[in-house]
Amino acid sequence: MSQLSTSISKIFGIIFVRSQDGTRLYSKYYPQLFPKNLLRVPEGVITNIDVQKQFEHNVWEKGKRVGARLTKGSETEIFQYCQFNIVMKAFNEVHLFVLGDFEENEIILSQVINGIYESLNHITKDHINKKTLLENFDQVIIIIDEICDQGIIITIDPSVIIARVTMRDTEAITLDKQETSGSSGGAFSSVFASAKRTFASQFMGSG
Amino acid sequence: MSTLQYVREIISKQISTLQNPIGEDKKALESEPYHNLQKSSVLLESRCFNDHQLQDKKCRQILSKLIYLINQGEKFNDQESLSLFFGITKLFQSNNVDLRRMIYLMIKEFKDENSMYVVISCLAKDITSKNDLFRINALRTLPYVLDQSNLVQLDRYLKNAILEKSQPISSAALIAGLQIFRISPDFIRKWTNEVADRLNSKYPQNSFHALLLLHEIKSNDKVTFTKILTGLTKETLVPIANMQVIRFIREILNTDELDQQYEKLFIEYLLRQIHKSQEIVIFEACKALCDLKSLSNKDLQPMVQVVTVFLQSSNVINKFVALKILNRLISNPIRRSLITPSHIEPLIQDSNKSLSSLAVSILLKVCQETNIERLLNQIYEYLNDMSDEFKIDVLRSVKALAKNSPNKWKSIISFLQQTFKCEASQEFKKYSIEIFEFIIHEIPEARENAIMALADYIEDCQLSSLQLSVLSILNREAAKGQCPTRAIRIVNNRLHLEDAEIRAAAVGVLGKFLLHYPHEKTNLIELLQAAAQDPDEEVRNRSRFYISESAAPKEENTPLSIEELDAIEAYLQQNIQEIQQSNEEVLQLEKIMAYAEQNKGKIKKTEVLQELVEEELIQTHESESGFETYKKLFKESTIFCDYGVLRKSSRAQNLTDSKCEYLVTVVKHFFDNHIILEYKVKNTLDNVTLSDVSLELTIKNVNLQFERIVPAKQIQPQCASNILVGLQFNPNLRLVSSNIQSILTFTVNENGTTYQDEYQTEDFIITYSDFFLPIQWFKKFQTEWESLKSQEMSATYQLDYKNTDIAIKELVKHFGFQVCDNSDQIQPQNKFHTLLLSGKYLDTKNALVICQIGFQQNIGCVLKIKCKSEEDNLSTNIVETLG
Repeated sequence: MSQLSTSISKIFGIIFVRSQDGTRLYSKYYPQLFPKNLLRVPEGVITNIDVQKQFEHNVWEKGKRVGARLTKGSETEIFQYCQFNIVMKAFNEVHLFVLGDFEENEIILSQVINGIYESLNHITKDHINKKTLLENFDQVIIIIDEICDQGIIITIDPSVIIARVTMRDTEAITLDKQETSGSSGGAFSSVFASAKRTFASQFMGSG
Repeated sequence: MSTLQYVREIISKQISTLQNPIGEDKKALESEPYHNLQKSSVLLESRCFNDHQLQDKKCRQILSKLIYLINQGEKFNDQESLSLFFGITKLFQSNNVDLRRMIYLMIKEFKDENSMYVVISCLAKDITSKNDLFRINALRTLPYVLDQSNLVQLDRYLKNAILEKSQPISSAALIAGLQIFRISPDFIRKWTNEVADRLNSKYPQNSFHALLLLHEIKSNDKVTFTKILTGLTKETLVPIANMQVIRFIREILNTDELDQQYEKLFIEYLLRQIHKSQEIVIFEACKALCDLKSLSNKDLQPMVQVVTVFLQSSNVINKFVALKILNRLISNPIRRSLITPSHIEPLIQDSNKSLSSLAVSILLKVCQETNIERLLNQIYEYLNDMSDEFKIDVLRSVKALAKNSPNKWKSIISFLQQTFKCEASQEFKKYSIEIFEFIIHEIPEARENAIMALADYIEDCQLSSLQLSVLSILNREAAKGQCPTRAIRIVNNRLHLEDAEIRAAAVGVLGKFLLHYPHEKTNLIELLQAAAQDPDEEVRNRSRFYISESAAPKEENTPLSIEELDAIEAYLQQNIQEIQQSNEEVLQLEKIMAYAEQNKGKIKKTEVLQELVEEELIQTHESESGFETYKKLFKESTIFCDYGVLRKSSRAQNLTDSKCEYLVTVVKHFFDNHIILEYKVKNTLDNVTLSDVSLELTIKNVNLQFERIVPAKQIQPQCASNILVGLQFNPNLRLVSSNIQSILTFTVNENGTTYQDEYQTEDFIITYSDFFLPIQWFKKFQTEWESLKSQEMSATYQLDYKNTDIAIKELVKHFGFQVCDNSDQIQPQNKFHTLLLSGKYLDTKNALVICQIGFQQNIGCVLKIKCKSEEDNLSTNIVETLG
């Protein structure tokens, strides 16, 4: 296998852990695109699953200290651990981290974590917590798979992500109208509408 | 689930609750939907994949449970994988979209190379499906199951997909292309036209994905890619593609010799980007500009202004990135004047610790004297939350502070004392001790406080290596008569609390006190007499030596010089057996004095030699005779003679480019357990003299440790001098490789004004090949291999080489061995290529290596390596270097 250039923008990993003890709920790493030296963390080599779990635990501990002030899911914190830039969000009983290497554009990382957040909000009807994430585990893992392919960002627009997760359309759908999951709009729609505007200007950018 | 299993589960649950009656955590876990998911029961459930009437929803749930288990680290044996995989292919019969989506994910998560071929036909069908969502997912799953044989077959579909009007399909094909590129770059290179066509796609992500793939396709053709980038600088791009263009420009600016016209165009482009409206673009451009050495401070002014505005942002990420950019900018000392500290100070208070510690680090680098105390106090509060690497970075700034503001030593010492108390790595504390040592040497009025602070530290220190470093500092200072006598009590405590090695070192310190502090004599003799009863021989001998030494009538009333004492110690060590056997008679004073007298001459001689060493090292050239000269010089050098015989020296390597004010080269000298780095520094300026030229090294490998340094006292204008750094490598290893980062530190004396400065040279690498000479000492490899009677070490690796040709070249380069029997010529008819190599390790031990290189379509390059050498440990190390 040959290596892709190091200067392409990419995600190193996405981690969900339990807030109560830092154990893994679901984690994805994309080591294939990174040079070998980046895969070495203090806990060992990241391709090993036990190393990953220990690493996640340490990221969680560090994240707790750094981001003690996180209260709302809409807020994001950022910190460095080893050779990584890490953005985090705290939900009820769950911490979410998105990792990029030290050179990675931090704004992209924050847009990715926001894309995940908005999509999760949609599938859990604005109640992101450990229980709802596990109950909708099938959709959670597909959301992650629609955001990022082996570390390459596919899209971060939640309306596109949700359209594809639910296999409804290849492009963005108007989420406010689709009621199949029984969502009555409400809080979600308003948060979402504003988020969508932000995304439109940030990611697609009209210029 | 069978009834039996169900009952078993209930019982085990009950037992676990009984064992953990409080179990709040447990309860929280048990209420989780997937709690207690058992592999066996999920596998049992998965049998329904074979049903005639598929229950889509149920199947999807089972698949997601399986993915959960895989993600938790559950392993499946061959039997289980195989039957599961066949089950999954059955699921393609259902046309339920939600189920199909999960099947794709499952295939990607499952990654079982042996069974992947089973699904390829299902995927190929979906690639041409009318359902776009099926097509997207099939395209993205393809790289997981593909091998080179079916690549050609699918080529047409993939190319068509790239050109597809629907941008999600095109993007999916481009992303697949990126993944396939890793398996078979040459194949994807044929897609240039199709990919370039999407570069101007008006859909947002499409152009980004095309840009990524085009960059890889053109990775061997920088000229063309530079032209493509130039074209893109004129386009209006979506932010993410814009950001990526900046990154590629940065890559070109930093790595390549670029035509000036392009350089100018790109820099102007970057300067325009900092005024864009999207942070993602602005920050990327600022980062790129930071690294450009050719720009003046004035050129960078607008960039600093933009970044400063973000410091006041309410968004934590913007603030963080802004600080990171500034910190990066001032790693080049010339840029420090661009920073206004008052803009950064408020951020020390930020509740995000990562942010506040970054602010601290910047302020330390640019701070004014009046603020030091307050700043250090603030830093200490945050120290525990910083990463180890960052903590050392802070210490480095503190050391610079001690150099630049020596009259602030009180604050600095109290800060350093606190650093001993915080939770940190041994390396960190060692660096603190080093700064203390610096203060002791450089700031005379701080000496006593600094020494006492160190002495206090050994009272609480648990690590014997740190205790020893402190004791050796005390020893030296006591010998100069400059150690406060208050330290005696603390040193003496070591004799009661520590192990033999430390006790011996402590006796050494007490001995020095005894010889240099006559008014403490009675007290010290008493202490040493107690130590003379120590259970350890070395400790007893040392105590007795110092007692008898102090009792000796000093004939000419001239105290012994340090060198003489060292000579005596050396004598004692050499003759220790004799001393033990012959009661204490050898220790008679006359004998020792006679020995000291004898060696006085020698010591002087070696001093002269030392000067000679430095003189000659400068003049030596890279030639055979040069090596012999080095060998002789190091052997006779007082400082490095304990490293043994010089085995190999590398060629000189430039660490600066030829336009720099200071030219630095490095030569690596290899010994059995040590490496000496010889830095040669040439001062090319006419009116500047450098003094106290030293180095700060960052060694990335723990198996290689800094040991000692011989700095250059002065470098006159247009002159050169050398700095020698001794490194020790883990004695259990025969080979070590590491990146070395060096920062030159010195005092500049320019027309009467002096100031401290530092200069970071390019990094260099100690490679495995540095240890070997490519030598073939025999006629036929096979005969030599068989006749070498030592254990054969072997291992198999999967490596990232694209083809056999590259693999051969890289392996020869990696080991630095000689190719034997023309084995680097590829024989196309062979399935495996066999490469035969021979080399000599550090001029002492012969080593032979056989590499069998093969390619497997899904895995890539597979290497089987076998090694024999004259030392089994060496063979093991050689084989492991590829791991």
